[in-house]
Amino acid sequence: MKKRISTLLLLTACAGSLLLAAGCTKKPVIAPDAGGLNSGKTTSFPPADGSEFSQDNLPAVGSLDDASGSGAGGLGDNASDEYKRLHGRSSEGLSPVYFDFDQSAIRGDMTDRMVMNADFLKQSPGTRIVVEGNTDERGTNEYNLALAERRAQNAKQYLVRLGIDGSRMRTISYGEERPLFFGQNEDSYAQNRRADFVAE
Amino acid sequence: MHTKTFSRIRTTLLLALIMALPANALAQRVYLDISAAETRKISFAVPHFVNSALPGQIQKFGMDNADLLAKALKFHGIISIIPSSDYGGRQDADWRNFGADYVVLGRYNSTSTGINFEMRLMDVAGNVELMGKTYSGTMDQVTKMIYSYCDEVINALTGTPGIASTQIAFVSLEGNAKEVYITDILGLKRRQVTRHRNLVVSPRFVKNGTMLSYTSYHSGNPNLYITDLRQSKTTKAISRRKGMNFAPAWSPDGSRMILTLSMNGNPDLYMLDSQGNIIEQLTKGAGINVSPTWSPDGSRIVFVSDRTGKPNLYVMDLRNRRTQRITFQGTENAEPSWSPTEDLIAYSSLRNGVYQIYTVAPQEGAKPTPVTSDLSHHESPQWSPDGNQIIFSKRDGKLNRIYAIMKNGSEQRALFSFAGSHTYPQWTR
Repeated sequence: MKKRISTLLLLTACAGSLLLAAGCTKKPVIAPDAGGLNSGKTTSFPPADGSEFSQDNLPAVGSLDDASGSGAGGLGDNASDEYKRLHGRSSEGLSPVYFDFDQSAIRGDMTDRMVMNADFLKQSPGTRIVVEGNTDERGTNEYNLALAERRAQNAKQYLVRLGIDGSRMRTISYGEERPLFFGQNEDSYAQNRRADFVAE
Repeated sequence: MHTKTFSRIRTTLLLALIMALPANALAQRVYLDISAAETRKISFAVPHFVNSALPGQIQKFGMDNADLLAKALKFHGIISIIPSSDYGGRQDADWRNFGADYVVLGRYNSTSTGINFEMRLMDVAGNVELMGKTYSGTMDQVTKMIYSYCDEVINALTGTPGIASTQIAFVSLEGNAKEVYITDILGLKRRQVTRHRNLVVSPRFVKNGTMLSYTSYHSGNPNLYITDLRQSKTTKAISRRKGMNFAPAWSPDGSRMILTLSMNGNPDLYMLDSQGNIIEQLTKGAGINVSPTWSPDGSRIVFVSDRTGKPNLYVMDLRNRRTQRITFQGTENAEPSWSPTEDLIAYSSLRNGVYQIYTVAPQEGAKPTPVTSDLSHHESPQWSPDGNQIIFSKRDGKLNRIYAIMKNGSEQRALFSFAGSHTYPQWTR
């Protein structure tokens, strides 16, 4: 293809300069109403038959073959920064844990929180939780979704090792899609590299 | 038929040249390569289209649609447009004087049911018509006609149809929700595809854009859905296993997909049929495995894994399951997209703290080539259907916007002016 267009251009350019060099004076007018087409054909676009895509007919909550569940409610957060720093999105009695950049292992300084979370869950045996994994905005979206899933899985497994029944917990990954802090600085990034423990 | 016309012209010209030119004249010409960074573009004029019923009277409709065709032609990166103000938009200008290689002359007339359009591609040097077409349809279909003719013109010039009639999908954050939208290449019209009012990620076109799959969180678990783009009534869940169901690579025929599932703890790749039944597990416990993309012939995939610590690209041969790493430079390498026309992978590579777009051949030891270099993050590269361009999501202040760039790194430009922050671009014919 490259070659073809190149040849074409070269020839066009050469032919043009040839004509100029030869002092060709014939005015190159292309008549706009030169009659019928020398080439080509008619394409008819069929009228819409009603099966076309319509914006009034979108896949929406409730129209699908699965129930709308706890995911409803959008991505917003209304709490104060002070509250968010203390609790992340974790439920009362449970504390979020934070991660190092690009890491999914539970940090040494987070083990006390994990023990407290396990104690809380032992004291309220009826509580089921979802462990939510998040990353900061650095890194690519899809990798971050997988990284945050692994953070949530590691946090869940840690609680299992502390004696919590795995069937009481599920994980969900939000990657970088649902930041709690919006600054482009290390402080916001550190707050967003987080797993929350949310009672269901 | 077009090809034949061209061959004839070329042969005639070639013979004339051989007879007329001094021996060294050809060698002095700059060789034009459309993938070179510095390229002399093909010069086009698209004067105002004329209403056949009112010749000599220029209407806004005729100006707007000539401009639309000019923009669509220019989008291909190999064509420059002579501004119509240079020659007053007249169809009978002395084109050689204005340096035009080609001119498109268009006229239209309204009918009882809609409109007829006639457009003709004229070769200025040869003073001949190369390719003409007429279109008839409703007024709603005028943009479709213009785009369709643009693709014919590009086909006549390069042998490959243009990409004006293609579709781009992306995720847009507006208010508290991320939803999938689809648009044409010039962003004239945007249509919403999902309305879950929650979080949607990783849209993927299926079977040449007749369907679209995506992952939505609205049920409380990231499940995979597929929607029929021709008839949006039919949307169904095709994988709702516990944990992630996301970022599938659809086989070119749409019969299979390779999906990341985390139901067994680790995010691994699985081959599934189009109904969502697992056929085979492809990776097992070796770090994160995401973002697969299929080679056009279906024999291989390239995907992201951090099995050696940092995310890098790996190619798996689906015939024997042999897997090899292909990226060794850059801190992280992710989000591969396999060119539809050649063995070339576009991906984002973390270089000096900034994500840049690179291309690399899918084999060990291949040298990566930079496509972008400015100090903003460039993410989620995807090839154009003709394999000449790459779109990506670029950080622009607080928002992400969709940009396009030629694969040689030229012509970087923002594509759309829609509201919202835009990520996860996808492109299909």
